[in-house]
Amino acid sequence: MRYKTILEKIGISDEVVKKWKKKGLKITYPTEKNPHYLKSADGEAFVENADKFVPPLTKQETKLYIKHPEKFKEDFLKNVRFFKKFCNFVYKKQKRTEGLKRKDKIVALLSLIYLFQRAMDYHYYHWDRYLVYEDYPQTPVGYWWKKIKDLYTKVTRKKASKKNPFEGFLKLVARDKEILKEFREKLSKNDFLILKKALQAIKIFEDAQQKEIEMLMDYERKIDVLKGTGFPMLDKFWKEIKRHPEFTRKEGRAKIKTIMRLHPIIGARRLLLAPALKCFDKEIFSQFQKEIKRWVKR
Amino acid sequence: MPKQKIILKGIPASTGVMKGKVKIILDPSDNSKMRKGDILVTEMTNPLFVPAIQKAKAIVTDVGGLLSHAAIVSRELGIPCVVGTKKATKILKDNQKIIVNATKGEIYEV
Repeated sequence: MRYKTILEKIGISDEVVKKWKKKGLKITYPTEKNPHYLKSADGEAFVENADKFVPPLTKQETKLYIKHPEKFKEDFLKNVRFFKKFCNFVYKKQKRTEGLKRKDKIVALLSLIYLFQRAMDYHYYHWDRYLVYEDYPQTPVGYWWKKIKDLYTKVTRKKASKKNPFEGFLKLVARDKEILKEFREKLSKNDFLILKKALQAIKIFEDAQQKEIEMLMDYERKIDVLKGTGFPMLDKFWKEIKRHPEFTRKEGRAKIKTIMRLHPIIGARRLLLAPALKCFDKEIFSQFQKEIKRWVKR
Repeated sequence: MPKQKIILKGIPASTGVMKGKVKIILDPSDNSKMRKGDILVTEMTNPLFVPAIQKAKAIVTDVGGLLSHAAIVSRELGIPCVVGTKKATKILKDNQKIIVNATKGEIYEV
């Protein structure tokens, strides 16, 4: 009989893996730095803004979504639904780790956290982060935002910036009737058409953002999918590690303890990078790699 | 009129000036703390905060930009909003009286 992997023991067979991959799940291993990631304006890396480990939109995707913001909304929301389904799937499977042997439980939880994190990376950073990139004209949102800014400057001779967007600019973005009337009078017919198109595009991106937040909310539990699935899994994992420090290498224990104390979003990222993974017992690390390799697209 | 002391700065997201009492809500389960006319101060909003937002005279958040949930909703509802202050929930106190100048992105002590 063929050797059964640990995740297979909790019902994640090769068929299940294939099904998710066929649906479009993208899991890569190891997590590698992307040298061309975009930094947030203030240089800080926050979950909404930038991350070195994520796949950005391709050139073709960017071009397509600038031209067709509604296509972005459609593809983005499709991915939101998919992402939510996958998070709930992983979370449900995590409950079945209770029946596993201690060591297997650690491997299973670590693997499930990795899968969750990569799916989240793909969703938040490949898609979601672009919705707040108004300051990057090379992105779909930024392209249309700049059009509004330029036309605002043309009429008012003021330069709107993030720190000083000016009242009129914010009213323009809010599609205030009075301001729109003023701009219609002051802009050429063609420029006003561009302004209308830009405002429509921004509205589509705003709607996508609002819809996503609504879709990812578990109204019954009053929690979003990230906090409702990823955080408890990580919490469960840390509890196991605290209870069984013997599953980490002696020389790596201080490092793991430090990571454990970090905010879950930052802690999960650090936990899943090679330097931290290597702090675990050799067998755990090797089993974990075997599990993840089943998910990596070939 | 004496110059008011600026206690916080952020990104103006929806214009207007409002004076009111601070209500710090970190978890939507505390929405009931909000009274009509209070100023909602939170890390970032999501749809669960809508009942609190509907009662708010103004919104101040720690994180977010011009296209964050709080910014979009406040522009839709016409509520003054300052986002990205980084530390509003740490610096402001419940029931503290403040003025939110969301046109300039400044918060003053009363």
